[in-house]
Amino acid sequence: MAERFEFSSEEIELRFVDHWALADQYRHRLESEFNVKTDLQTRRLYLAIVSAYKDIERYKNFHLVDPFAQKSDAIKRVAYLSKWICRFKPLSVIEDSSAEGYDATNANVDKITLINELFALQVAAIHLSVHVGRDFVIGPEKAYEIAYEMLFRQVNEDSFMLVFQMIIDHLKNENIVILV
Amino acid sequence: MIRVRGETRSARSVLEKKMIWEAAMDETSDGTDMSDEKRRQAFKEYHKPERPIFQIGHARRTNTSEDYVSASIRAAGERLLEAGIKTAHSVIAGFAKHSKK
Repeated sequence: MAERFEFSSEEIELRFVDHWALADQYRHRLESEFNVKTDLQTRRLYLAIVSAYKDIERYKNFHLVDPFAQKSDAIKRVAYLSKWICRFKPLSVIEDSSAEGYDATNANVDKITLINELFALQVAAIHLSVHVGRDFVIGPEKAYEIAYEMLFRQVNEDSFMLVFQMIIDHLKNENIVILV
Repeated sequence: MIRVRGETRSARSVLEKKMIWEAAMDETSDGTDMSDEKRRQAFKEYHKPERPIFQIGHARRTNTSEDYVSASIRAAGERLLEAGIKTAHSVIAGFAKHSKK
């Protein structure tokens, strides 16, 4: 049996540190934008990052002829990162239920419960922008649809791969459909 | 041509393996007992632990990307932040609208 590829602790540590910085930056900006308080649970973020890279290891060992030399691309990376960010939910909005006028039945208090799904989409846009060499974010209509899927439906990592691959194909003007 | 974990194998090679397997099966259906040795041989023809044949096609685009570059990811995070927040605003507004229905 061939030797199995594994990321070193140093590599995963670097990715954890990077994603912690991205999460911090994103949540602080959301706080000022939406006038809410947020929290980043580092253990949850750690589990999300380590789990994503364990998935990438498995992918590389299973699918690549030489997992040591060949890279898995950014599409796989963001598919696994999205999956685990949505599962471990490292970000949370701190509710102040003692505040005057707080109404738990008001749907408006839910408005930023999507914080992890939105962060996952932001992480995806960041990695894919670097991958494709063009800065972009997913447009609001499509972001809404994907966030909805992330929150309410069962979307697995393979589905995320397809979604993100199609976004990249669109950016590269590849023929996703053929008009007849 | 059939893609097998990033490598290209000729259809002929696959066909040959299929024929070996079918020949082994024919032997059994003829009433001839297939020896374990033949079974092992057929298995080995199909089973390559380092390159299992059931992984066909999955590695289509994997080895074309650049490696992870920390500085690039961090810089992109900075550049895309405002656009990402703008999208977040629209998405949240969309959900708020939805929840009112």
